[in-house]
Amino acid sequence: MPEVVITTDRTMMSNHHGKEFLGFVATGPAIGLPEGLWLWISSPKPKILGDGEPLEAPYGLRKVEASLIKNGIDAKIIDPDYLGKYAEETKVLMVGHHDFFAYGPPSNEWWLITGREPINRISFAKLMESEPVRRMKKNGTKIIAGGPAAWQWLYEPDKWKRWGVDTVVDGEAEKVIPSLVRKALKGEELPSYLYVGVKDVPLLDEIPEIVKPSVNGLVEIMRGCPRGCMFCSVTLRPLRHIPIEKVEREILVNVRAGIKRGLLHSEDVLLYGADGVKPKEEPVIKLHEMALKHVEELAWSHASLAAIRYAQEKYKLISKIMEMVKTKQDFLGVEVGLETGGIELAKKIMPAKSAPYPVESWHETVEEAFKIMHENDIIPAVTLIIGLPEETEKDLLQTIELLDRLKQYRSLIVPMMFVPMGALKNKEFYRREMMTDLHIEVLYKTYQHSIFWAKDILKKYYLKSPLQFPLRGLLEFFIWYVERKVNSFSEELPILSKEGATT
Amino acid sequence: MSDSGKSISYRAALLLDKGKTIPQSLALRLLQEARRSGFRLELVTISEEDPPRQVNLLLPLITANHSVTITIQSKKANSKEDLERLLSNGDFDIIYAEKNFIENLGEILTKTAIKVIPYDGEVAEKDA
Repeated sequence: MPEVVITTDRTMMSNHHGKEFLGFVATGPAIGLPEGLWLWISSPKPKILGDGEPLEAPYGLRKVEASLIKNGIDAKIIDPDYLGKYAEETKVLMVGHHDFFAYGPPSNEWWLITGREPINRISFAKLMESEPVRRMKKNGTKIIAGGPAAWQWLYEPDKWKRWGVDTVVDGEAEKVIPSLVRKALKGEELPSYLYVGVKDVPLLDEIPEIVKPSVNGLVEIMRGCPRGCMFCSVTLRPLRHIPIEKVEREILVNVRAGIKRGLLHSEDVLLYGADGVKPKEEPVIKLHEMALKHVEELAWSHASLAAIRYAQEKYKLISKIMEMVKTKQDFLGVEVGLETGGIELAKKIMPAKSAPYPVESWHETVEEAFKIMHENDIIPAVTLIIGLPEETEKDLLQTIELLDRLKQYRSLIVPMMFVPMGALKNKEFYRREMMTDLHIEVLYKTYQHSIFWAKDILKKYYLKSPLQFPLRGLLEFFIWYVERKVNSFSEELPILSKEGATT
Repeated sequence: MSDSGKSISYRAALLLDKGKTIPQSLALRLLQEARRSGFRLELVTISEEDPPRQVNLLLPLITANHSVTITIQSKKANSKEDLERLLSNGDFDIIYAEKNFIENLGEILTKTAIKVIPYDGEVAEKDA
């Protein structure tokens, strides 16, 4: 029995039917469907090996596991449904999450709009209040919480106390976690809170390699980002490019376990091996050649619109990559950040988002990148933030104007409400009383755009295998339900009553 | 200052008053001192409040920080004796005390012979 058990709740411990984008369904409350069915759509149970170990686990947890094992600590990731087997022997329970309390985007937005708690928050609370976790606490197990959403515990001190979490760790934990866990195992006093600053982040050769498979074959190729956008916490981290040999070894950990997918994780995949913000052709091509040698299907986590435009204009790099990718699949999914169409706002909060193109030409860069993706069967999920500090009416009007220009390009545009993170973490959360008519107009435009293209994507690209038809049917029902609901109240909103036609 | 490895940490005790956060000026000062010392800050907070609430009262510090490694040990003190014991054994370079503590517990603080700097806490906002 391991001394240290690492776990998370069901919304995270899942491979999301092999479609990680479906995991976002867990950021919303169950609408139009029973909660159990909603949870099945977003986060079905993963395949379990003996003793409750999941075949695939979230990559961040795998890094923590790898760090502890490398330092001689007996640690294992266990599925939340199997914690009961470990309740008597576990000395340290480590819980990670991407969004513990649904304060992150887009969870907080769905919560604000519907007035109902998202499923990820409900699921995490169920984990912490489950009999095995309560029994562990009663037995004196130390509980350490961490992950990208560690900051959210600062706003839930009552739950922090009620659930008996001993330490919250915020930041890149691989270097600090072994000594913290050793203290816990020896029964020494633990800090309540630990934020990992620049002196304690791991250097490239200190980042451990995963030893067991990650969800959908996710592997990181970079850490940090050079663009310096103020709303982003990742850009505060030192920029590191993971050597291709290390990336390949991690891909092989997954492939050898039967995970034939690969998901290249970076804040901007096209900046792999780049010098600053200009993509270089050779390292990106080599990376894709290597990955496609091993996997049957490939995805990207994120790319920037400026890099997409530059890469294609300078090297026809997007076309070259997609020529390779489309020998195996019909399309490539990726998340991209549009954030705002307001030029003055962009200058204040994300002046390098458009680089190497001037921020004044942000609209041209965005549209050009959308066009390139549309022509090359790259389907982006696009983020847009409303309620940013110093946002003006003019910024919102320019955003609406930009959205009109983007109507013809296949994409899902998901608006987010401002959450204080990164260099803006001392600002106010966006709240319902801050919503203006222009915000509603932006939300409605993104809704119209995304509903139109969601139907197209489902028809032509997504969940096409017969085995996936039930899931596809549920998603089609959900789209129909949302359309009905939105149509029922949109006519009552004066700002929308002049909006009639769909995209 | 204590040695946490390759660089030295700035180590301080904070006496937190119930329901009051630290002011931005103190948060920035702590971070400045920590950066001078090698980007590590070790805080021991002492208060009647539970440990998680004590961390919550340090939000002005946490939200102002981007680069310093911060470690917070939170200790609950329910009596003058608790306070004296915790302050005497802490190996602190300095103590920051909310003004109420200095007015009510000046003698104990003087006995520890550590430099004490008073500050005016601010009433904490409701949780998100």
